[in-house]
Amino acid sequence: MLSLENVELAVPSSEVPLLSGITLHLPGSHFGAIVGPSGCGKSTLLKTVAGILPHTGGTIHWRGRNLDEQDLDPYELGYVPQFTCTQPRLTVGENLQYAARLRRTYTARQVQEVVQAVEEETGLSDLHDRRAGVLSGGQLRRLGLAMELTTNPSLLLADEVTSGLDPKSEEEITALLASLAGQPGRLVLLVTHSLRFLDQYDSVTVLTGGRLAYGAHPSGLMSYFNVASPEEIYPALAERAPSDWAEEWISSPAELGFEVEARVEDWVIQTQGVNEEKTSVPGFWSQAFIWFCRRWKLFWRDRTQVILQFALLLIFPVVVTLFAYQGLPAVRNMTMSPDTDVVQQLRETLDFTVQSSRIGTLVSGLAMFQVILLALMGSNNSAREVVGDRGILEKEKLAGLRPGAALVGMTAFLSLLVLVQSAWMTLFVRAVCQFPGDLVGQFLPFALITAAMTSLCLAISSWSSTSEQASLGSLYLVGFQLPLSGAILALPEFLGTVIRPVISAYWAWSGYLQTLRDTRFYDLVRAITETPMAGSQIAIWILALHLGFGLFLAHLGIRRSDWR
Amino acid sequence: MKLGFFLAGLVVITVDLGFAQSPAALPPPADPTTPAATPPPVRKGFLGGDVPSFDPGSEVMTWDGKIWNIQDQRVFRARFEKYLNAEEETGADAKKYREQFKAMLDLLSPAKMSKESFRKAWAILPQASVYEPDAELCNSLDDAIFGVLLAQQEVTKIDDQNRNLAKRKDTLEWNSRFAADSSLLGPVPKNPVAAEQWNREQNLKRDMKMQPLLTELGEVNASIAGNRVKKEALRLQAKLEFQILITQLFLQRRFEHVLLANRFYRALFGDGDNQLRVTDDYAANQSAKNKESFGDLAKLPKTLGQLDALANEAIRDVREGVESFSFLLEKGELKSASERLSEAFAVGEYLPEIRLLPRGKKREVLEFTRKSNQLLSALEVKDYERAAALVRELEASSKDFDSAKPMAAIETARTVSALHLAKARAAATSGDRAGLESELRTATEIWPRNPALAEVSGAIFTQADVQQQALNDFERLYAQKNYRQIYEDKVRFIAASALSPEKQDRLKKVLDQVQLAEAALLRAAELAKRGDAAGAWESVEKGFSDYPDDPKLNQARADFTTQAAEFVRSLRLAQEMERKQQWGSALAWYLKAQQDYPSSEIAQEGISRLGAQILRP
Amino acid sequence: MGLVLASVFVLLGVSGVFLFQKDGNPYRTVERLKPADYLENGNSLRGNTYQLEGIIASSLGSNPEKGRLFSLRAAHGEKEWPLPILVPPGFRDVNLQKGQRYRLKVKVNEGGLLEVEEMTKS
Repeated sequence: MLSLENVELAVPSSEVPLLSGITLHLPGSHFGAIVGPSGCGKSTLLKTVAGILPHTGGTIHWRGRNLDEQDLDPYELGYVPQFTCTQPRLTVGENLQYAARLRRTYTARQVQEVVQAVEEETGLSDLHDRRAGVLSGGQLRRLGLAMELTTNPSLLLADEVTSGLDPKSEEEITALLASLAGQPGRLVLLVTHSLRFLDQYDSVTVLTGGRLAYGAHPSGLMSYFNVASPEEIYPALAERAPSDWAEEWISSPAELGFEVEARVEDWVIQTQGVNEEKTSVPGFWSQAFIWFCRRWKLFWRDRTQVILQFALLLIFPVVVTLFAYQGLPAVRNMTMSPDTDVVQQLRETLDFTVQSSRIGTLVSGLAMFQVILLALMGSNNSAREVVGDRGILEKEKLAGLRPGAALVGMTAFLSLLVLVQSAWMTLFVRAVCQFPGDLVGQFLPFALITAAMTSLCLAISSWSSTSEQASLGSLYLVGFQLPLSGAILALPEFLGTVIRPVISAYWAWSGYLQTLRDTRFYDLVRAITETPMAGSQIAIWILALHLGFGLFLAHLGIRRSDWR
Repeated sequence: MKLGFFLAGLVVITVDLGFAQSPAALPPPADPTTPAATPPPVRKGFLGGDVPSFDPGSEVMTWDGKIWNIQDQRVFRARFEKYLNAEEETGADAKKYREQFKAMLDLLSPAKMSKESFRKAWAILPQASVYEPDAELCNSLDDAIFGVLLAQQEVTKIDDQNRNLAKRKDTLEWNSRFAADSSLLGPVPKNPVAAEQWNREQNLKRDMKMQPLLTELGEVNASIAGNRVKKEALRLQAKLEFQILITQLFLQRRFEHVLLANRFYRALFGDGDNQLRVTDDYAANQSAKNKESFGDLAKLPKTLGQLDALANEAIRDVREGVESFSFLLEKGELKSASERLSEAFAVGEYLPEIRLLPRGKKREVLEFTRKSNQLLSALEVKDYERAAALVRELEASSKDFDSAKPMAAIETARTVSALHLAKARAAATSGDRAGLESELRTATEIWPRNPALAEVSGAIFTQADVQQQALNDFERLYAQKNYRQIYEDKVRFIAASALSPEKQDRLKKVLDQVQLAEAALLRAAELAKRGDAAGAWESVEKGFSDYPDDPKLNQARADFTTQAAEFVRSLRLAQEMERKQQWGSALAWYLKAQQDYPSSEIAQEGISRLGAQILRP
Repeated sequence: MGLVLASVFVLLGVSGVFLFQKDGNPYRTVERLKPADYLENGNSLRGNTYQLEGIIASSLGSNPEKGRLFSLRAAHGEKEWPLPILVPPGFRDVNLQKGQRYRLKVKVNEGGLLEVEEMTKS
């Protein structure tokens, strides 16, 4: 079923290829183990097989199909990473449910059945309603497995799923895997560094330094390596160079017969096809919707997040209103007649300047304050959106989740937040401070700044490796909004022209102030700021661009492969 | 009257012989019968007064405690100077005269007095008269003597007459007695009435008989009396005339002649009666005015003896004075020397001591005296500058010249004159014409030669000319519109136009105008100093519109136009546009001008004006 | 591929920004008034329409029928020129105050005065 011919994986950062000259042939209904000392390339090999890492040499055939030409279908593959990617806040059942729904177009009932079956299979029936976050290690591994099993994959790759477990769990998982491998046509590959359960495996592939040292039945293992017990294998491996081992393996007779079995199976499959029901991955929008639903549920399950959001939602507008609790002051105008004496004129101008600086600063400041607070909220919305669930996302992607759909689902969820936040800010502040100006005209820039920040931070999140990185990046993004917006200090003209287009806060602020155009406040703000004001339309346009750009980047970020 | 005439003829001296003024003790009036035994006290007793002293400093000659009239001072001084210049009379003629005089006096001296000596002396008289300086006085004396002799002859004749008359009188008296006794020619009627009538007839007959006798007797008596009176009168007349002559001689200060005349008198009238009757007769009739002029004749000495004594006294005094003079001259005290000499001269001008004084000595004094006289003259004419110069010279030449008094007088006069002049100036500036004139007059009176006077008075006394000139100038300048020049000279124009309200009005207008222009220039200068060229220009421009002909304003305008070029250009263009009725552009330029210079009033006015124009419905 | 898209996106965005930013000007197509020309000979520009941008300086008067007269400080090059503008009665609801910056479409009327046809705050 699975044939690896001279697979090589070279990376620019390393002289020595990570994998070199890996030739394997493994049939279905097979439980194979890939063992080797740490850093020998076991997980790498598995990921290469899974398609997570693209091999740079050799070929991989699955069921006679060159995977380079035609990749594995999502449902064919089940990949269980070492550290289980489950949603801790969802129950076991929910996890499985969403996994199933994301990967297969099931009806509700079907989903239930599948979930049930898988739970039984993996022995998680009793934990159906248990939050994944409270499961033990072994249980989690099982859940991980279970999630992969929802698609009933023919190739099940398990990467060190037994590592770090207690011996009992290890035994259980290994037994489970073995039983799973019993299903016809299913190849289960387990990467492990443990050599305890050699008897469970149908085959053992020993890697060392990225080279294949042994790839046959576990029974010939000890004699091949000339050791008394399995524990001595790794030390023996260490005695010789990997290339030596690889050469020795190549030159050793091919007596294990897996190859033949594999080839025969392939031929059969090729001629007869596989009688597996091909189920399709759910549609884009379905996936998006499912993602959204899960996200929604997750949001409400995250009490901290809920509280935080509500707090921000309520406190920020209040803070804004504190500065203009009594509304905006009236504006005293300068005398217009040209014959007031110079001293009087100067005094008036001075008074007006003082007033301008006071009221103008207040109005401009209030506008900017709202913008910044909304930006903060926006960044808070999405800073950890992708990066926090990166593992799950990658797994789901591997399982057939369209990145775009995930993005849409995220976007939908975030949009809700954005709308609520911006609407509440606008309305609350307006109501309390009795700001003049067009309501819609004021709401739009606010909504868009929040949305733009959200989308940009989503992009940052999708490109960050860690949450901290994403948070930091978002923080900087928001942090630079204010000073570079020109609302406080006008940038030098040429610099401003270059920078302002990318500063969302400027556009939101400008767009907001345009609603005050007919009032004296606008004049005062104009008087105190040298930064040119943009029109409403263009502000909206630019903010929309930012929003789009953010989403675009987020899409790219989500699409890229980022397995930990 | 005669005395008065003589006195009037005496140009030199008019003496107020007022004894009463003299603090000196008066000499007891001489007893007419006794000769003047006690000569009057030396210093106090010359006619009852002081010895004449001459004090140039106070311009007075005090004699007898009296003050001499200035009028006479001059003449006196002239005479004195003339004297000082003259040679001493040491010529042969003079000598001869002296000898003749001496001879006469000698011949007539009481010891040698006789008819013979008298006759000899009398013969010399006419000879002495030849000498010119004698001034024919000897001749007069001669005449007087002759007159007396004639009178005496007359008297003799009258005596003869009277003797004859007395004889006749006796005759007549005897006849009349006789007539009176032989009177009854018939019986006396018994009838009372007839008796009365008969008596009456008888008386009448008697009377008729006696009448011619009586008449003649009366006549004869009358004649005799008349003759007696005549005789007396003649005698008196002769005496009087001689006395008059002597007095005259005395008053003329011809003391030697007085002595001589006295001696002749005594020879002629050897009756011991030397009472001066001049005073008696004339004093009684002297009018008050006459007394003023010629002195109270009642105060003249009563006896010739007194007069004689006084004459001797005077001679002695003069001698002493001359001695004193010589002494002082040696000492170099010219003042005192000249004083002494002049005193001596005043008294004894004709005396030989005076006449024989050497010229050299006199000359020394002459200069001093001349200068003193000049000083006096200067003081008289109030030429204080010259007086001061002379005082200095006098001080230099004479040791004892006291300059204090004259200088005091000079300084006082100068100061007071200057004071008055200052007052006059003040009055002039304040326009007090009357005050000016009075002060000026006073100043002039006090010091006519005050150099400062010329300038002030010149200004005033040509006031009329100046005024007219000023008015003319004013009219001319006004016609030329040269107001600035009028302003420059405003002082004199103000003064000149004081009397013409119309001109004053115009002048005021002119001055106001120029004042405004000046104010504008001043303001402009201030503004320019502060760097506000536009403001300065505006200030000047405003002034210029009021008074376009002012050259200063023009100049300033040109200067500031250059300095505030931008602003001025804007205004000019604005005005031009306004003229062309391009309201929009005009208003724009006014606004631009206001931008260039925000305080511009012209720009502001333009803006308001055009605004109203544009917005007019 | 994605990179190309991204760069296209950016380019679009930036250019769009520039375009819009530079010319948020509703009167873009109207010729700009040169204050110097106007000052020199306003009458020669009679009948023409121009765009003008400036700051309201002072009020020079008003008349209910004729409208309001203002002086506007218009910058041209290095200098600032004060120009008189007549705001017709039709704009009586617009609250014009000193210091406001406006973009105007003006017509040079018969009297050589700049009469406002349209105005918008800039």
